[in-house]
Amino acid sequence: MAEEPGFDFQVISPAHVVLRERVTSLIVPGARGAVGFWAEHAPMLVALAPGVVKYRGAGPGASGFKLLAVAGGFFEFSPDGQATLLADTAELPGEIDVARAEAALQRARKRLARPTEETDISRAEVALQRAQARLRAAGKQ
Amino acid sequence: MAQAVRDIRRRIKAVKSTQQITRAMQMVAAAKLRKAQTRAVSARAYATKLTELLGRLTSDGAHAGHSLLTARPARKISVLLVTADRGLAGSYNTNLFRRTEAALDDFRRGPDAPAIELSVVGRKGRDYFRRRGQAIAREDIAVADDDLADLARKYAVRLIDRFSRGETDAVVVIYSRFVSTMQQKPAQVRLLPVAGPESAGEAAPGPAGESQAGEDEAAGRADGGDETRRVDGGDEVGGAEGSGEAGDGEAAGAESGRRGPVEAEAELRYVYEPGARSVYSLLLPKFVTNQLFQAFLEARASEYAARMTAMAAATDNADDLIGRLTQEMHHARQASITQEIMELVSGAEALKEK
Repeated sequence: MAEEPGFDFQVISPAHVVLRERVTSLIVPGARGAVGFWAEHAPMLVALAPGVVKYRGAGPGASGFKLLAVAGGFFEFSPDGQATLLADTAELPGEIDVARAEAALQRARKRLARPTEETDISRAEVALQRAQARLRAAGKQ
Repeated sequence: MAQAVRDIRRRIKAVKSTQQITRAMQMVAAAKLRKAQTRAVSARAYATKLTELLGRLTSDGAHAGHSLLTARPARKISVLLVTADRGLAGSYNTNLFRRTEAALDDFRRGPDAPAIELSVVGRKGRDYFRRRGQAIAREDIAVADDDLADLARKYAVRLIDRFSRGETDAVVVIYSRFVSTMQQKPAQVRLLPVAGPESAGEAAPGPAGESQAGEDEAAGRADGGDETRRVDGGDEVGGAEGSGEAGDGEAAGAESGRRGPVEAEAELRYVYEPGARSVYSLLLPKFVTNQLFQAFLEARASEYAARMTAMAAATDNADDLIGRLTQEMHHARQASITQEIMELVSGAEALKEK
């Protein structure tokens, strides 16, 4: 099989650059569903939902998808073929606090199961998604 | 004479203990600066990228008439000043006060000057303007370095909300931009309405020299507001706003010229998911939040840098002072010894005479 063409992918959170890597393909959690990219995709700008980004590294030795949890943001595939993800927060699997994510998941579930007057449903749902994304990226779900 | 020596010795001791304090403060500021500087600098990547993205979207025509971009005659201006909680940071706070006073005077000029609402982050700023009888709409004191992101988010939500409801017509933030350890510059940036298409690249509190541009821009907007009302009191500020930003537009143009004219052309349209307008609506608040966050980070880094420099200078001064006092003490001691000898000698002479 011929070598797949790669492209540069970087993930930037408000705090710092989380990831800079050459990849062959990736999938981002768009607000309206997942969107996949290969090299030479048309320029595109995607608003993201909390979720897991999957990307496959380029070059020899790279196999399978690697994961990354994001809490929303924007993804840009630029005309010059660069992929940039501006994340509200972004964590590599190693950076995820699993216990905290689990606690957040339980909290959000409880709030959604028994909503009271002041429960902000959409906020709880986003919190749930965020927690699930973290756990999935950490390989716990 | 022995009394003089003792006095000087006591003074040296006092200076030394002060020096210990200034040295400790210098160390603390240096440690905090390292962290704050790394933070401010590594956060610039996001700010820069977001600004770029906004600029590209804008040139794609997604912005048409978005409410957060639309300038209107300024009847009320919100000013947010970011200062330190503590002093002993050289001219850090003073420079910011001076800049703010100048900005306020600037806004107040003219027959129908807008009302001004001042909010302050940092105890020093609050105390200063309270002493001067300036009403302070909101104050946030002793915010920890780690809480700045939350604060930025809260402010952004509140300001955007108020702007959308017409409770304020413009929002300006004044803070200190971190240039280097030796240099911090008060900067003034207009948050809302979000700087137009041409100047989007200039508006971010990024590493580029935007301080001056921000100032001119804000001044331009204030004047623009007046002008529109004078001309016909209605219609959008379009004309005046445009003229106010022409200078910035040129600067931004020169900037983007490097990337080649192609990029600015409409042919490079993006596919938007979901839809250009909704992406834009999501992006703008994020942009405002990020600008604020970056301003807070820069302000903190500047504060620590200013404090470190000031305390280093104080420590050096103490060294000089100790050196001078030590010399003085030696003189006094020598003088007293000489005098004792003289007394002895003259006493002996007197005995010999007999």
